[in-house]
Amino acid sequence: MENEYGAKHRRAPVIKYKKVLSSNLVPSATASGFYQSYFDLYDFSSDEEEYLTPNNVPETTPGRSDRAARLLTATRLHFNSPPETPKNWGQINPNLNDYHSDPMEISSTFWILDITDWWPQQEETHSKYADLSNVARDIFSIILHSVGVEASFSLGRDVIGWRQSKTASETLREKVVIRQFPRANNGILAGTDRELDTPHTENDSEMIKEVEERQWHRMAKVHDFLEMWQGRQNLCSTQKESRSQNKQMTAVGYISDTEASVKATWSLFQHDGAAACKLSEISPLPPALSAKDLPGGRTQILNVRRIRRINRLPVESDDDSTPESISDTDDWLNWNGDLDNRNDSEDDCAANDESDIGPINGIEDPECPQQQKLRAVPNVPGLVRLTRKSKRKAEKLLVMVNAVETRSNKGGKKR
Amino acid sequence: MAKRHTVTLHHVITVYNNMFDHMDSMMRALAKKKTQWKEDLFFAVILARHKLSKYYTEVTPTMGMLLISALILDPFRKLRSFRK
Repeated sequence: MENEYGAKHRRAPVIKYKKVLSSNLVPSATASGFYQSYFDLYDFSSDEEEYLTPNNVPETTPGRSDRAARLLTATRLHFNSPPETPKNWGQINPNLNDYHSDPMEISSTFWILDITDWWPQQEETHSKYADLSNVARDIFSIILHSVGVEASFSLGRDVIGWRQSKTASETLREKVVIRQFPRANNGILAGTDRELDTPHTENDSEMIKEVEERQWHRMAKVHDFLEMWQGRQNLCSTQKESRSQNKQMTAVGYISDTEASVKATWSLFQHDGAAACKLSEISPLPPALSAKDLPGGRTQILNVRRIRRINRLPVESDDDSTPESISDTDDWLNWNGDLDNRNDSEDDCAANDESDIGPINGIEDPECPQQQKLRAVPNVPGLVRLTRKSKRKAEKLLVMVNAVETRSNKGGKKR
Repeated sequence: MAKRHTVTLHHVITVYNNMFDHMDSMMRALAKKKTQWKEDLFFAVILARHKLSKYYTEVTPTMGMLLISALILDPFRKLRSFRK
């Protein structure tokens, strides 16, 4: 500790003096008993800096004049003189502020001990300042440090560390205020003392009313529950009494009555038989869009089915199938939704047989052996397999188209 | 002062007074100077005194009586600091 302390503080040589009992006018170096030590210019731990400033240090360098030596000895004698004892020592009244009127310690500068030694000495010697030494002990036991002073100017750093940088200024202000509130009010937290609370605003009063209403609402709920429970108890008691008196009295709703339960079960849950099955055939559409409400009695579900079949056939089908598809659309537009009168289904089957178009939807007839042989062929939806007859028709159609084109070209050239 | 191992409580007011006196004397000396660096130094001393007074006002309301009591209980000064 001393090495670090010495490295930080500059020291100046100082001469300290011991108490000289003998009064030598020309004291020698040994007689005066001075010894050299070091004085820290920035050390305020003792009071010596006030009196041992470099200006007051006597020069001991040899070669000085005798005048200086005389002044030096006179100064030493002045400082080393014993303290003046008060003449009326036994008449000191402790109530008359004798501590300040006593010039004993002030005059004897170099005789001063450290303050930590002076007050214990007063206490040990049972001097007139023995009681005051207790006060001094309590006060000087406080260790002085500068942390609190600096912390009063850096409250924000205590709340927010160096790694916290996204806290808003308003949040920081609120945190500091919350931390400082108990300090300023002797540890009283906000809300515990009504006098320290800020006056309530309109919003606060409304919130308080809402909270009170909620509490009352909860109490009302509990009260209602108690009433219901009590009413249920009364009802059970009345039912038991009525049951003991008359078994036919089941209008109150007593469940254990067998006659009432039998009547209720079989009379209410009797099914309609075939009528219940018809309910499943009803269109899932809402009643506003049912078949009866639509004009012509048409349904949209069957329309979608017809559209899917029309879109697959017309482009790749034969000449015979195209007008049939158009007729399908006509039938679709004029169809009344009757499932039993679908004559066009038979026409479709005939057209498929004439055009020799294989199963395109993967739907196979288990009764047809030819289709069972073709199971190895992958069923691709929309695929049309051409036969010899369809190829011939296609070739004829191409010849006719070419002939028409040649005629039109000749006519254009003539014009 | 905070690093000393002895009692330093009774030096607080003395140190403050010395620092204030030193700054006042520096301000009086630099008040009429026209050199640039002296003017800057004068401005710096003003700011330093303002900062020191801010610290002093923070310390004295809470520890004022304590510091004064410690200064009075210094048997080598007693009321001498207040007589000035």
